[in-house]
Amino acid sequence: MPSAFQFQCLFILIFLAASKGETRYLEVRDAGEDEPFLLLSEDLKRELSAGQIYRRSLRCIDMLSIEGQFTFTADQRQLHCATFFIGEPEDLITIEYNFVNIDCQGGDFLKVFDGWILKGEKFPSSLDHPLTTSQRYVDFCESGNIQRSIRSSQNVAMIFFRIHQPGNGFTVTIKKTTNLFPCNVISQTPSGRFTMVIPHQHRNCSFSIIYPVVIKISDLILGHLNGLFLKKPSAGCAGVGDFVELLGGAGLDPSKMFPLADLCHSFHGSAQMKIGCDNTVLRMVSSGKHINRVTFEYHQLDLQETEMRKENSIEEFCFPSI
Amino acid sequence: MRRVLLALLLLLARPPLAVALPATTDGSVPVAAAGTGARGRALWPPLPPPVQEPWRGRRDEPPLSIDLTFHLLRHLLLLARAQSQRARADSNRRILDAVGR
Repeated sequence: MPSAFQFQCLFILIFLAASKGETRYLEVRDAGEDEPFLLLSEDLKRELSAGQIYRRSLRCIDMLSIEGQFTFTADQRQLHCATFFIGEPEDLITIEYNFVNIDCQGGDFLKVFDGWILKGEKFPSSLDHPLTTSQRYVDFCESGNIQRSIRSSQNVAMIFFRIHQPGNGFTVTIKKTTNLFPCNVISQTPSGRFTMVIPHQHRNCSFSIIYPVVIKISDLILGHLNGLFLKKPSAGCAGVGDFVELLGGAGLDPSKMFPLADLCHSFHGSAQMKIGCDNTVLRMVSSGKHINRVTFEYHQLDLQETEMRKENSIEEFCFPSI
Repeated sequence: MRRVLLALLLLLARPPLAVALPATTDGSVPVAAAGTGARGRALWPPLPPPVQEPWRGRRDEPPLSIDLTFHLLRHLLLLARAQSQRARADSNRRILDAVGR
């Protein structure tokens, strides 16, 4: 090999080797140059995380749908106060006591309720909740030293409190965790779309919409096969282990609402119903033998739609009389 | 004749006069004297003792609740949603401000 060619090959090899080394050095240099950015990123992260905790004061009657730290301080005697908590359908709500300054002996109380209760009507109903009514109340004055953090069984919870002495109060932190199979849900919005799945669980699940709505069920899969039920259509779904029912009423408790329709056969398509009630509930009853699923959409029924209610609607329930 | 019979019936139906019972020094009425008249006969048939019912604790009280209309509840929901959106917008603004430095 001519010496010039050898020299060129060697030069190329050396250059390549040098460039690799230089690259590594640049990588190290880049890493070194990134360190200030990395440090800034950590500071940035700390700054952002510190500022991310939402804080505000609570009113006597209040509702919260976000995580954060909330403080109530009584400026006067407050005897009938409540705070409602609501999350997305897949959220579970955790209430953690940070600071409580109330006079339990003097008649103050601070109680967490697993669900919502309005005018004595509970959601979820007693039929659909694993705990008894008394177990759903957690009284700080009785168990505050033991249970500082309480998690709900569904996407809603609330606290009741009574404070006699001005200046007394409490601070709670609200966090949300994910529920893989939401069962009992109250919708935050008058419109939306949801799929409820009950996988081999013997339980009943309710989805409540506290608005007059048009609800459209697009997909229903119940475990039993179509056509194998020797059952009179007029008998409804009574006696069937797995079915979906639509309920309407003026209260919160699904067990006290009017049954408007029930579905006990799987279908794919669209079944629409206009329900002019203050509260509409889609409830799935599951035997636990199958995986049941229902997908539905809903949007608020406006006044014009309530007047045009001749088609595909239940007239005798909940619509305002003309 | 009818009036005489009626008056006789009324006389027989009238309860006997109450007689002051001897009280003990502590104010209680001796058990032997209670429920008896001046002649020692029972005035009224003895009442059956009250049924010992289980103690009615907090479980039987109506559950703690609040009276709100759905209208007000929906209003609270609207406020909560608006607040949540404001908090999310504020959080996004701080993130973008920090990233843009």
